[in-house]
Amino acid sequence: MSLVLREIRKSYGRAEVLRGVSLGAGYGQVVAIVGANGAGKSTLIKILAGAVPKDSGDLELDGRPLELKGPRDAIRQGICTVYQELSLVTELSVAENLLMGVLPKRRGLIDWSAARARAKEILTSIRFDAIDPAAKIRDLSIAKQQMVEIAKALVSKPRILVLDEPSAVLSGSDLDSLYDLVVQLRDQGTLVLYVSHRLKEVLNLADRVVVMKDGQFVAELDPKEATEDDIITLMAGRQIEAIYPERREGSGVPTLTVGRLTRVGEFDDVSFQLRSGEILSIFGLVGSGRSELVETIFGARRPHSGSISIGGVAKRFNAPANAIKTGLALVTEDRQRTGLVLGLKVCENINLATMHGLLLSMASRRFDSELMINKLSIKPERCRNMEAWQLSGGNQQKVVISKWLLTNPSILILDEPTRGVDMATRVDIYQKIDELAVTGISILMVSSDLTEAVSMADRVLVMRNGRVVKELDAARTSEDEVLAYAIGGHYV
Amino acid sequence: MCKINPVEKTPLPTRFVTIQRGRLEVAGNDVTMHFIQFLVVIALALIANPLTNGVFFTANNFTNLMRQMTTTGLLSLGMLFVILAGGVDLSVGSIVGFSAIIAAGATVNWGFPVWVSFLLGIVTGACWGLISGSLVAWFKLAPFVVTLAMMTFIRGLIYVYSEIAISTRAIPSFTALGSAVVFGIPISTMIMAIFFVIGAVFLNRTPLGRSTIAIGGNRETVRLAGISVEKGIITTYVISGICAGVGGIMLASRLGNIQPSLGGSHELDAIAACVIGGANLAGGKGTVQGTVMGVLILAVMNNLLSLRNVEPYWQWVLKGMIIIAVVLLHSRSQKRG
Amino acid sequence: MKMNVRKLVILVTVGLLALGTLIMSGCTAEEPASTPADKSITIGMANLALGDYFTGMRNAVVTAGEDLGWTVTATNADGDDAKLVEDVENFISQGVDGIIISGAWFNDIPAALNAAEAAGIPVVLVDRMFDSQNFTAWVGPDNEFMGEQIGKYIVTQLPDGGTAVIIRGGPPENTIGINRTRGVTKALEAAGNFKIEVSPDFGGWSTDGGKIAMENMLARFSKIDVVFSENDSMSFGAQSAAADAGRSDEMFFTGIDGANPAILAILEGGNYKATGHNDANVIGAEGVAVMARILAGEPFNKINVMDSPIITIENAEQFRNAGLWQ
Repeated sequence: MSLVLREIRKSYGRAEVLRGVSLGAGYGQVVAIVGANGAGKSTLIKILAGAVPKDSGDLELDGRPLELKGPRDAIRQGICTVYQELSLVTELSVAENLLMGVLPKRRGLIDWSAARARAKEILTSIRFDAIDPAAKIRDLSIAKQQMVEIAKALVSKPRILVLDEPSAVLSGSDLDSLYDLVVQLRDQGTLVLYVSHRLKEVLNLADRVVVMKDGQFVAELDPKEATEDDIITLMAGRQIEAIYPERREGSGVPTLTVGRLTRVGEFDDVSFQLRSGEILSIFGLVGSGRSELVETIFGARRPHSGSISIGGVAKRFNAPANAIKTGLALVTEDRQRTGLVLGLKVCENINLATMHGLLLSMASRRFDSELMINKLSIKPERCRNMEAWQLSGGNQQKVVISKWLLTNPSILILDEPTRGVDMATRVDIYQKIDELAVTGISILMVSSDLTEAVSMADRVLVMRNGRVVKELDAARTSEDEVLAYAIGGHYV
Repeated sequence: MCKINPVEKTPLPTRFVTIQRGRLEVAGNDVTMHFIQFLVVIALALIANPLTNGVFFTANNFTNLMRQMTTTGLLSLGMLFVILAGGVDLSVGSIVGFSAIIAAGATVNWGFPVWVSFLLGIVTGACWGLISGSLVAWFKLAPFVVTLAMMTFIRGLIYVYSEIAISTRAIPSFTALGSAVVFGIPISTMIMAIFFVIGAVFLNRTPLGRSTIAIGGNRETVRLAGISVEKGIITTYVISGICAGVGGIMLASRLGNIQPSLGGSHELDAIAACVIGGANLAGGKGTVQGTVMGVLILAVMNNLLSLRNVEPYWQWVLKGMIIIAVVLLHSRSQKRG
Repeated sequence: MKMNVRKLVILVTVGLLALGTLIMSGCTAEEPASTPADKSITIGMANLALGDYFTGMRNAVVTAGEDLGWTVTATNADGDDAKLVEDVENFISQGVDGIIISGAWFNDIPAALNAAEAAGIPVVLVDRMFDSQNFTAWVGPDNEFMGEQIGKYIVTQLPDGGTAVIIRGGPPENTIGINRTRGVTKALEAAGNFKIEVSPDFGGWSTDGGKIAMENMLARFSKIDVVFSENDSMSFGAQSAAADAGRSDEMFFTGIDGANPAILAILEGGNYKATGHNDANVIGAEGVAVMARILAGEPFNKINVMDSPIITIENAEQFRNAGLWQ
């Protein structure tokens, strides 16, 4: 046993987050850790990374007791962690980020060509060669940034690699590169602790699957035999019969018509129609222009040509405020950056889009936020006066959705609504989306999750390189077909 | 169809005041910081009396104290709004001087009635705020740079208008506002208090006020929620300009002789009061109550040091130390989890 | 905000430091004025600013007052008239018997005078007379007269006239400077054959400032006959600038204040020719004397103009080392 955790406990004030976590793992294994948000996964990861001290319990590395004095100590001991939040310096280049602190020098000055060469070496050794070492981080897509983040963790050749939701922002060939890398590392003798919400991926990739719930490991499953439902049941502690609601037909009345919408450099000649009560998903690889498209429909960006009609009336939105008045709502893809004001209380965030009039009514604000917290089961229950940053990712997403639901939209646009959200909360959200569609709201959903895109929707719009390449009826297509169109092949 | 057990809503007990884990909460709001500030004010007041041979606790001194905190108080209120939205206004000192001399000049040189001159002073303050705010909001220039430039520009204009002082001592209606006292409380301080109340209501209970704080927290989120960020930012600078204008009028009224150099460096005291009151200079955090506390702490400290005849330089030393201590105390609570 | 041991330690440390500063700083300044039981006289002196000259005046007042057995507290408003008003109000709160105000370059601070008048406390102004006349007495120089003297001297030295450069101290509203320049200008214009060039740059009352202002004037004018600066320090700077440019023989220099360096310069017999006697010590001491008469109920004059003779090489010797402030 190379890494042993024994009865690890950690409390924040009176809240016990880890209640005796025990695990043994050896080198050359991929151990997947799954669990709902709030189960304690992040805290466990932070303890392993040396960022946070444990209250009690033992850590052993190679049979010797392990006391981590800080993140640098952890790295020195051979444990590297890749968090969900990117820790790169956006203004610097890939090479500078990879080699931070250990940039090669020549006669006292930084040797840039050697740095680039070394960075290239590192990237190639893990087969991330599509990344240019001289590129600035902020010019890279989120997916590529994530890959640089992973590469950075591998610079010191750790014996133990902890990955927290590494695949959340990846798709297509990048995703495959990640999987290959994990397998490669495992074969080279690294212990990979892999935390993910994507249950299918976890079952494919891992040698062992450990389920965490309420601060403890409650079960270990054999990935060769377990199913997703088994995992979900263990995570949520209750029986969930189906993840995705059954689809139903929309009423057919067109609410949103987009005609030849174009923004040069982002998307081109996009046309489609959205009907009342319908869920239309837009699937595509990262960079296919989906987010830019929906932001333009919402009025956050201006189209260069083309038309948008709501209920048959052509509209020109020059600011989101106009779109909102017409009945649109946009849940953006990055809730922390553009969906929430993290420093504000939850109830403030929920009421953010519906502040009107001269004087606000405190009573109705309180009522509205309590109503939403209840309807969407936002946890913890008394969170109305908590600040938004204190909530878990899934609950934060629910807060954003609440904000938009209060505006009584007729067209709800969701951009990656379940990114970084745990399975139990996902189920809640899918349920809610279905309910909304039933009441006649038209739903446009951008998703990088193939299963989600196909299972939730009535129709699927596939985008590639800024164009709509195919419109498919969800009931009559398959995930493979959708993926094929997204990648650029033909489906036979 | 998903079958999920309905969530049971368990009623949790609510108490009006709760103390736990080193946080004091009243009606769901974290008032720990305010409580500590209040303790500091009391502590200062208590040690002040013996240190000043009993002069501190006299009615005369309290009246002086209140009058002395009016200018800083008004400026701090305006500054709070600007800071909440993520900006800063270095030009308020110059706006004070400009309003003062315009009001004085309008009365003495142009013969306007006093109330018109006062209005003129306030309106010019608002205009300066409008200009600063527009430059920051529409042209996306850094607030520090814009208001620094305005500070110099406005001060220059003051000297262009009048190289010498303008005296208003002969006009009783002009000087009444700044010197009148009712039941021991100066009228100027009452006006400051009214402004604070209006400010608090505006901040806490109007959409514009709430969106100001939100803008300081995350501009993009606010924009996407359909709120005009530009309008919000400009409003804060206009408020700051108005507050500075009123401050200038009060000061002019009190002094009776307005020098063109009036008002310099008041902006730093305003910022200090906001910071001591718990406002985060990066924006998005701060309260009117906290700023009031900050103003009180600074005023009591100033009064105490003046009564003890401490050199102005020691006052700077002390002020600097207090600001650092306050920021240290706030630093933990401002790091996000 | 979470309280923990570390925070508490920081709070307590800073609190103690702050308290210490408060108490210690009070020790270096004078004790706060208050009327002790034995009823000796306490006087408050409110200074608008404390430059060299004004510090000398303050010292003179404090020394003279203490010689009479008074307790004198002097404050410094650092150029802020609102602060000076506060200082006066604090004196009133502390129950002083008399207030002396050194208004530096401000032409009027009505609020201060009004407050003292309302409290019935006598006010003596030193050096600077205010436009508001509700003070008890004033002691000081007549700046315009001093300027006129210098001007008349220049006229006698240059009967054919010439180009006269004037360097002002600033800021624009400084009436001490304004009056001095007005005096010089009056005398020169009366002669009719002078071209007066006022430097647009203010010399800031310092040698450095005077030098820079003069350098610019030297560059603009090829022939300068005489330089007047509103104080001696700036004239020294101007003198140095001329020397650097090799034009020392072209002109001579005059100033006002009569500090020892000026006296010595005049005695050297070089191109520094005249200054006006403006002794802060004399003014301060006389201010105290007037206050003493007021408090004793004796007759006194409201307006007391100090003797400000012009000092040239003829009478410089008697003023050598007379000025105690340097």
